[in-house]
Amino acid sequence: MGASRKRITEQHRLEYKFLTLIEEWMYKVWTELCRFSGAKIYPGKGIRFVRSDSQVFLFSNSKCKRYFHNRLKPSKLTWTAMYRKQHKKDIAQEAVRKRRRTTKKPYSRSIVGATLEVIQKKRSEKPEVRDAAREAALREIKERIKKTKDEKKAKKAEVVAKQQKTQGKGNVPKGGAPKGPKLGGGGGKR
Amino acid sequence: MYHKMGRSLMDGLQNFSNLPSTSREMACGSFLYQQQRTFIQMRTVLKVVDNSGAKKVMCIQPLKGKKGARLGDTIIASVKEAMPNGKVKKGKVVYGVVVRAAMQRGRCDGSEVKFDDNAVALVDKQGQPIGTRVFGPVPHELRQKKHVKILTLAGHIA
Repeated sequence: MGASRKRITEQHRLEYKFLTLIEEWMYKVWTELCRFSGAKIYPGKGIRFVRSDSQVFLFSNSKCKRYFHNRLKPSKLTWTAMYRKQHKKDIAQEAVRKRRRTTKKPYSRSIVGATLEVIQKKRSEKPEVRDAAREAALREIKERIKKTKDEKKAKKAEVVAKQQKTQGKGNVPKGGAPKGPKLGGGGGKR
Repeated sequence: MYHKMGRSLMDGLQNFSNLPSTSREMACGSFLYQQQRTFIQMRTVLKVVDNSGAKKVMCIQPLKGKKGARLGDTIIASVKEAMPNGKVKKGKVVYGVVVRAAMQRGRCDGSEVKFDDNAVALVDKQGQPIGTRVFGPVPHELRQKKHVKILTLAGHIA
């Protein structure tokens, strides 16, 4: 009677565990690394030890856990990953492979707004050519500014001349006169 | 802390630990073997990790558990040591939720968790924590036990 009861409770426990696996979505699907030996801990295995200072230690089996609690150093035990790393076993191959990957070449591609030819042309331009181009551009701008200034001056002179003429005649043209320079200014800006 | 010899048991009570029997054999011989961690039972002294005023608490009765309380269970306890001005005084009978247990507890995914010490967060009859802060790490298991308030107060969830 006692034995059958035990079996039922175990089954119950398993079922409950299964349900919680599905319901709680807490099932691990990745492997973790043992803090002591560096071995992979597959889901369902291992012991997790949480120290009072909130530091979590994962052990792949009770061997690692025992050694940890007995204050043995993994770097002194030949079979641990730490020892291998410290004594540089099997690292030479990895180092060579890593170095090969890190060489980068300057690669030119065409971008939206500037095709490959344009980029190459700009890159191959000599500094003197670039300076000459810059100077030409500046000169153009200066000429443009000068032109607009001259226009403005000319218009102002005209308006002043008009004012002097029409001041004797009456107030009506005065209404027109202040409008004149404003319009001229707007035109010049554009 | 890790070099204690022997087992931490009460007289008369058997060892109901989850460890396999082979480790027990080894324990008899070696000096550097750890404690055999068991349930939290009557007369277990636990640390209090909230700011309710109590410092040490002794378990009087584990609620729900023939052998004893585990991680995430509630216990009735008596305050043995308390801060001078706190919500809880010495000698008071309180309820507590075990937030850290030295005995390992199986997780849903099959792994086991164990903490460094036995600690408790004081709680009232309805399950609401008495303190306003919880110190130290706190396990996930509390969510399943519907002690969500303690989880929210906790600084670190293991």
